[in-house]
Amino acid sequence: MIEKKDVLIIGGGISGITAALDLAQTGVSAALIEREPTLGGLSASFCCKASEACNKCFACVVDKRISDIVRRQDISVLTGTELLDLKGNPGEYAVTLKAGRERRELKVSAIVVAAGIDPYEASEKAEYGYGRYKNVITARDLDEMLRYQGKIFRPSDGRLPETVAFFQCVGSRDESIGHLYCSQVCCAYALRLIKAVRYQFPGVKATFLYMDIQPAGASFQAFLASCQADKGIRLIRSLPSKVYHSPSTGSLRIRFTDSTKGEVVEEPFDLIVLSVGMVLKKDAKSLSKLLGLSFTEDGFFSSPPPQTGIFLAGACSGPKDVDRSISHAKSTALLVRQFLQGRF
Amino acid sequence: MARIGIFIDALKGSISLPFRERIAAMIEGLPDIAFCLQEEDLTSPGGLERMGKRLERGDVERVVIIGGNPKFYESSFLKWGISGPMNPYLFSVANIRESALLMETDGEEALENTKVIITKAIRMASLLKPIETGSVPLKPEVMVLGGGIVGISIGLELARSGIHVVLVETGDHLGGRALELRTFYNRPVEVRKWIDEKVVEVNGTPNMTVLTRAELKGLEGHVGRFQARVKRNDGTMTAFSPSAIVVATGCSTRREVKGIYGHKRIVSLPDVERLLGEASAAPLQWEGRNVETVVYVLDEVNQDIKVDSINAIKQSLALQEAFECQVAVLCKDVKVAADGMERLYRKAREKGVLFFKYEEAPKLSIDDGHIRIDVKDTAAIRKEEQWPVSILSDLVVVSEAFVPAPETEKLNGILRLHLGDRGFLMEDNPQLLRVRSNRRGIFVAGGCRFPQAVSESLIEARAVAQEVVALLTKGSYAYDLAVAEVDPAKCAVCYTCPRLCPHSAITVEKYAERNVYAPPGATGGITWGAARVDPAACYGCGICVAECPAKAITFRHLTDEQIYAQMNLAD
Repeated sequence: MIEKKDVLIIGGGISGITAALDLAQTGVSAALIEREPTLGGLSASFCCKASEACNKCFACVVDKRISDIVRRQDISVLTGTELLDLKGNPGEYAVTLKAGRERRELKVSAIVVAAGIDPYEASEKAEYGYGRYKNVITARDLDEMLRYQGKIFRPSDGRLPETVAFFQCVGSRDESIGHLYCSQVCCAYALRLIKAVRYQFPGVKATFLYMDIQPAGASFQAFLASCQADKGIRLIRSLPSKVYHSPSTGSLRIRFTDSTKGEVVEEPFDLIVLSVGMVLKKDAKSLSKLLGLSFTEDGFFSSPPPQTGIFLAGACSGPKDVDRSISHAKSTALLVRQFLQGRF
Repeated sequence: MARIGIFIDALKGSISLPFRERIAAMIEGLPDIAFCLQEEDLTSPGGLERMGKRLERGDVERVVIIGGNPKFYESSFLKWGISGPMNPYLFSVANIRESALLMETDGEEALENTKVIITKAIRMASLLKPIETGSVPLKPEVMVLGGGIVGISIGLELARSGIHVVLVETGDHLGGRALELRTFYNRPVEVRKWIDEKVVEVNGTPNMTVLTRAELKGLEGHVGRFQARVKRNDGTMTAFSPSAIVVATGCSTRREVKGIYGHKRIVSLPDVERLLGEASAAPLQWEGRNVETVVYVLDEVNQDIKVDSINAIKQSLALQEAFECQVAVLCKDVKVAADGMERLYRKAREKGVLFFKYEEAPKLSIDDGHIRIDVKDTAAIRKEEQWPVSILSDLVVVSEAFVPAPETEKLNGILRLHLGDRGFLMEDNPQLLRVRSNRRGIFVAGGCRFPQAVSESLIEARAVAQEVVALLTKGSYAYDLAVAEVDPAKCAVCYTCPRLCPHSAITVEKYAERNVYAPPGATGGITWGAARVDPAACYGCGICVAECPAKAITFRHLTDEQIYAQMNLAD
């Protein structure tokens, strides 16, 4: 006999987890599949970015929600599993799942796609030298560094950097790579990282190079003011064009227009952190064929009509931070429930 | 002494067999021990099952687990224990994982430490008391405060889920501030038409009661048993008893009118929305004159709210395309952090809208009936090349400051929620997942929390509806009584705890004869009660327990006695 569930949730990141938990709370049975061996997706590797006080980065919320879902017995969580095939009609889908060599059939009424995003592949911006110069890292690399090693260091020599430059909009708002969208989260994300680093390592001086600062949430203004007040953080409206590397000393120099001085300057930095934008998860593209999903202009999934019984949750529908991913997943859970009750 | 059963968890081999054997040998010498069993992995399904089977024999009254982190067992034990033979609160945990690891280096000392930890856990176990569970029935009735689009959407979603909704709006019509908009930036839909459709739907929904020109005047009680008093338009008071409350009272704006800002050619964004809605073809008219140049001055207020930026770009495109105006947008940062906004911004630039990012605030003056705006163009790199730019404009659009709705403070006196620095409700608390409030059963959504674009507010509205449905769907709210409890005999009614409780779970009510106080000469009438913690509303944070001057409040699952036992202070 083939197992039956109300909903299949594809993706075990924060959005998928939230959708599963919320559906379970309203008595809807769900199976959650995640390709990776562990839950949490991208957000699971975020570190706490508190300084003197909480900076509202939501990293702890993710950890809590992961432990919430693990405790629940009414949600079947299948890690290391992916969707292989989908047959049937809305309300009565037959899916084939693949876990290693094993195949598994499942009957579901609705499907939630919470495929998530990938950070933009920074090496595609060759001028910044990511992948070639050891001391050019992405904000996500720094985040993992802080979470798993508890410190910030130069990958080349393991030394604590004294000057760190943060480049914003790497892979966002960039016509040259066809990304005509703002990733919406990176300004706040990078500034929180800077605050966390400055709090733990006051000797590190940060330079934040940006185009426009995009606000995020109710407490952002106060948070930004605290960044502006910090003498160790320079906020400069400028995007550097190129990173110069000296092979003999391993030092990195960048040229940028310093709006505070009103001139073009060239400055050395110990470490360069690229705030990479969001793109739809590469693996997720295969889902578009299986599920008949179309894309938005920006390359994310566009919401299918609710009659199909296929719903989107989280950042695979467009850039979202953890906060908005949770809200989005909750609102999706409501729609799914209404679909199951025959509203559409 | 109660009989104690002991389980030693090897934590999948983290605690070595020889070490476990020594512990077991030590335990054998202790009194009141019924049995001591070892498990390779206690929290595995097999381990839990064997534990359950053993406890079903009923020969022990307390359980001590020797193993790792207590949190780890709590969830497993609760999961299994609720339906199991024993109350899930009758177990204590000795966390010896670290000592076991130190065994390699410290040898006997580590064993001594372990002994101390185990003795404390056993002493703790003997002091444990069973904790019952309770439940509050939740009937499907919800009160939604605010009849803006967020309130309407939440109301409709809830009504669809079979919940009766009472929608309370202070104004005389539904729709709220979204009615100031003509179009959405990302959808080719007329806002008014869309809202009208929604309002028709609301009126045709049988399980929605809409009260306009009505106001919440009082709120008592807690989740599941709220008692709300609403003053209706005819002046009468009506009592409702909703199970949950959603606050969606929206925000308000404040316009600067001092000095030049009072000039008739300086308008706000909603004014332009209205103008665009009324005008049909170029030239655009304002105050009896053609409008050819329009300048937006943004970011002088609400720097962190992107709504104005979105609307200004949307309007400037319409002005430039349909009405052949020349538009300039002056701002600190172009806020495009919304889906599709970057494309709209680029389109505006392509159509000829000028963008100036200023550092010093632009100066406004009157020049021959026009408004003259002086701004420094920071696009040039060198300071000396940043020429001052003067624009003679027919219409200047300034943003209004978003402020909490005027009734928010008064309303919050009734609701007792957290107010943020700027006076918005529940401004930021990640732990509450944005939509919950500090009080169980009360939810906050939309502009009263933070002003945002309509599409985002609607997602939030559905998220709140989901939360409410998730709360009410089971028909009751089950809680266990491992919460704070007031001893009415000791309570002096000093009002310390209700003021400190972050979840407004404590009220003072008359429920114990002991504390009835009658002033001399009074014939009844004036009586005092005692503080009471509502167990369904209590989060168990312990602030009141620590603060109560009379030590009248205790934690049922962590009494002083139990803490002392763990600290080895009991002797």
